[in-house]
Amino acid sequence: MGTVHAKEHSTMTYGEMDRNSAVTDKKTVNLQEIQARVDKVNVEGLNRTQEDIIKRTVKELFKVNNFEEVIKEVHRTQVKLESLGCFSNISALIDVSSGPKATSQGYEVTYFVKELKRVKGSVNTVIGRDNEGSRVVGTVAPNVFGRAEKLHCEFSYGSRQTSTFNVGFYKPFILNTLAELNTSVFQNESDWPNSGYKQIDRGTSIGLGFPFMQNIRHTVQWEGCWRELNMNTRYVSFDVREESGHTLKSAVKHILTVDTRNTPLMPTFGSLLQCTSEIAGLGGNIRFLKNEVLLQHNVEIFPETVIQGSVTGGVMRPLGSQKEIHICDKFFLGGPQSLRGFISRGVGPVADKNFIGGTLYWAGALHLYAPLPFKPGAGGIGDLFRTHLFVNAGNVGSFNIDFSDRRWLHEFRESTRLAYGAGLAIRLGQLARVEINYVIPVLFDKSDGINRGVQFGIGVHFL
Amino acid sequence: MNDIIWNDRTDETPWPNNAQLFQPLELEQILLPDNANCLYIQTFLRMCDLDFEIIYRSNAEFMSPSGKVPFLKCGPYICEADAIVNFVNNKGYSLSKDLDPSNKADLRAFTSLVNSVLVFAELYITWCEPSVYNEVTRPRYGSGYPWPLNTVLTYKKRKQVIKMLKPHGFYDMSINEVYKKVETCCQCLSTKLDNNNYFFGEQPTEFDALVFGHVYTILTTPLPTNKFSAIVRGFPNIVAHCERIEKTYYPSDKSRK
Amino acid sequence: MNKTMELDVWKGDWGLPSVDLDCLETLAFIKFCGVSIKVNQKSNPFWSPSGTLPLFRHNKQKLTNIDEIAGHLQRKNFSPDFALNSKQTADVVAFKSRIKEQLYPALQFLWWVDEKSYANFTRPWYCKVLPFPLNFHYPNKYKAKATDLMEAMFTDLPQNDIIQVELFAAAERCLSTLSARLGEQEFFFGAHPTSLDAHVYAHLAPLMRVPFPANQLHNYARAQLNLHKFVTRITQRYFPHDYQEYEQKQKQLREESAKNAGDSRFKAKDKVFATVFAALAMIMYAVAKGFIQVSEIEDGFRKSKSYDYRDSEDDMD
Repeated sequence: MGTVHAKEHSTMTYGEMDRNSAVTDKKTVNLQEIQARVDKVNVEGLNRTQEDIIKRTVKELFKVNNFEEVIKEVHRTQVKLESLGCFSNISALIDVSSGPKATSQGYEVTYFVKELKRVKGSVNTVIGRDNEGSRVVGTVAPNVFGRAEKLHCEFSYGSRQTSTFNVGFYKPFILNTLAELNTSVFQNESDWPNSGYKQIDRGTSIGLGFPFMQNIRHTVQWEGCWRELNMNTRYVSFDVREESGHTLKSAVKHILTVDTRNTPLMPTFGSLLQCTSEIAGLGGNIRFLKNEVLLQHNVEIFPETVIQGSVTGGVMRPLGSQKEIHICDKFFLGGPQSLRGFISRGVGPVADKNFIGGTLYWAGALHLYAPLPFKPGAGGIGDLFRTHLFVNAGNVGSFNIDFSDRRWLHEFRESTRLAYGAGLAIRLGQLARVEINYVIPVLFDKSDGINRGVQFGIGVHFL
Repeated sequence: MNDIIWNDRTDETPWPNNAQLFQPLELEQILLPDNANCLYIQTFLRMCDLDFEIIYRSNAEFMSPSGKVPFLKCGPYICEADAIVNFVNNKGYSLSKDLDPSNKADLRAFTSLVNSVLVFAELYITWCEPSVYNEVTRPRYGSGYPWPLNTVLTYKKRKQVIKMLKPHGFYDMSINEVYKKVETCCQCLSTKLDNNNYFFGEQPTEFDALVFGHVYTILTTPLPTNKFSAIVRGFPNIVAHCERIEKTYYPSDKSRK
Repeated sequence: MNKTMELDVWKGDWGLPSVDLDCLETLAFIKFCGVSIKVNQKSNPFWSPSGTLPLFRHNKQKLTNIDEIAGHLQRKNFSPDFALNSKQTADVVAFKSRIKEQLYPALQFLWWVDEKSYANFTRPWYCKVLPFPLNFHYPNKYKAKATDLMEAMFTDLPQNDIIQVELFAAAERCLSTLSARLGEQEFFFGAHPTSLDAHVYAHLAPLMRVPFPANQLHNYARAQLNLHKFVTRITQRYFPHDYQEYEQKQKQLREESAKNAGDSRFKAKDKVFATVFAALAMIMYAVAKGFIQVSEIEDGFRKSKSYDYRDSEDDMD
């Protein structure tokens, strides 16, 4: 934005600027040359929102020097106000400043906001992991104490008779910093037919997230979780059956995220690095150490044609008195969102047709994304669609990692799974994406659960 | 008609050498009703002269498909509690196959008597009698779990037991009414046993194992109240029967307990 | 002083003096004692102190439990069990618990838990017999009680058909045990009925005589010839009145239905009426739900609804 056509001493709301400029006279003004400062910022419509968070949100506005910066900063501040999640409707007005304290180059910025209602309810249908449909009933109380805190409560009932609930509390700006606090109490039922068991998790978690330089973010989280494992049928493998019953996990997790991508969903450039370390055993009867890494890089080779490469891997080992990793902590691979071409959890160690997961895994994928041929619906609905060609590979297993004896590494490498295919990826809003692919598995084990042909996946995180 | 088979089929394959009997930890965890059942099945298998290995697991109750302990893992088959007897019978080992139909009917009837009186009375004592529940049941049942899971699981189990006792009328009884029931039951058993060595003829049957399992456990389990064992002690022929089986099938006492 | 004893019981049907297990057992027990008693077919447990029938009244005493009634009668020197020795008494206790454990749950299932027979058979029967508004309360109460029993027996309540298979298998085992024990005798302990006979009769008679919609046990029970004869023997010998009345009614019904078979005009009229009624009901439903809209009321349906749409929620495994 270098120059715009503007009427002198114009009073206009930011959003109307383009429309107005078309009908006014054609005199060119360089806005950077107009000296300007902001004398005053008004926010109209505040009711229960506390002043201090508004002050810290708008304080950048007072640092501007010319009129172009004023306009840019007004917009940026509006986005910041929106991201507080306290207001349903925000508009801005820039005017020359008046009154006794007005300066000659002074401007006055006024935001008109409408606060969200105290409680908001919603009913959604959600499709989650493994294409399970569920009905979600939720209520949110935004801005509970006036500082953009959020209290939310959700109950969902799934098509496979699984029910979950989650009550959470979110608080930003702890001690006037950018740190965020997230706490929740939850119950979560999940069914893993390929592993032969049903799991009920009940627990509580508390997490602290804070940014660290640009693009870097740390999250530290503690989770206390009571897990109950029930067998699906009488004929479940005894190896799985032995794990049934109750366990209590108390774990601290650290996540380091470096994200330079332009958008998390179908980015066109940038990369993501995520390192997760989890240590369990501060109380409870589960003790392990788990490390995972995810690396993703995107390169735009032609306009709108992107090559994306991702690699992920993880390793875990039991700690202290515990000799074996419990099945619900293990790594699993396979399914439309991880290793395409295999059924969910359909890769790796098997006991009597039940997949029991492993303590070591890696997976990688290479995608070539391109727009739809001939770009139908460009600029509209067509932008939500991408075609992609991909090849993905990976392996999961339980190995005794021994650096003096490399046989395990050889074995791990020999049994790599590989599949390639092509398909369509569809972006749903800013949250999720759907993939419909035709996949051909190339390297696989006899015991693997293979999904040759059309595979459908919906979710947030894809490999 | 009387040779009842209620498993899917008669399995004629021989008894495997890797049969495993799973039960809760004996020293620190097991409770009176489970212990009686485990002892019953152990004794029954010993009477049949079958090889098996006892495996103690703190989550045995949850590993069992029906939640009942003990359960037997025999090759690919898993069967629990009373079904073990049928399973073994279907393998061709039966302690009661030579009985005449009328005696067989009696055997089943008395089995029901023990199951519907002694078993419920044991559950009542363990879970509904405050002194026993607080001093014995709670610490033992929760022993395998960290706080706060031990409290939650014990509470959950108690609710489950109460739910089971209610329709059978036991939950609404006073402790003395339960004792009365036990006494009636023991009276019947004592009359049935009379002066014989075993309940049905000169050879032990699964019913002898069942009575032994319960009587021995009731007599030897230390509880804050000893009224329960005192009632059973009031019937000398039953106590003698118990000692007889102990001597015959557990010759070196140290192998058990 | 010796006022007459009275007994309130559930109403009978299908040639049984009462349809309720406990009432049936009490009736049989009292008959076996040879006590003369006034029986009222009340079918209303509301006034009973425990809320259940049978209700036994004698000299201001009100008893509702078979064991209490038996005890009371025993004190008056009435008991069918005097001739039993201690061994036989033990057998009586044992067999009663066998029945309670294996046959009783199956009967409860048939009466109350099985959806088909509850909806089409049991509930309508009780609704007809009980006075309003009790006819809404009691069937639900009994169903809840039976469901509690099922929950107590099966840890994680499986599907009804799985329960049915297990319960019926147990019941069949119990029936064959009883059949074996009875043998060719007239009663369980020889030529005279005892409390065990009353107990067995109370559980077997409904199974054999009540026409449940889905009763696989029925055939099995009838196939045990000695048990079938046993039930018929007791019904004919001790409750001849109920038995004959029902047989006669059945005979009449059969004759009537034979007469009505040719009368099809009546049926055709019924059919037309039913069709018109159903069509009307469906149209009214459609209008009410807004599938069909009458233009004048259209504005009334405009409502603003705010939904928060979310497409998906997910995590990777």
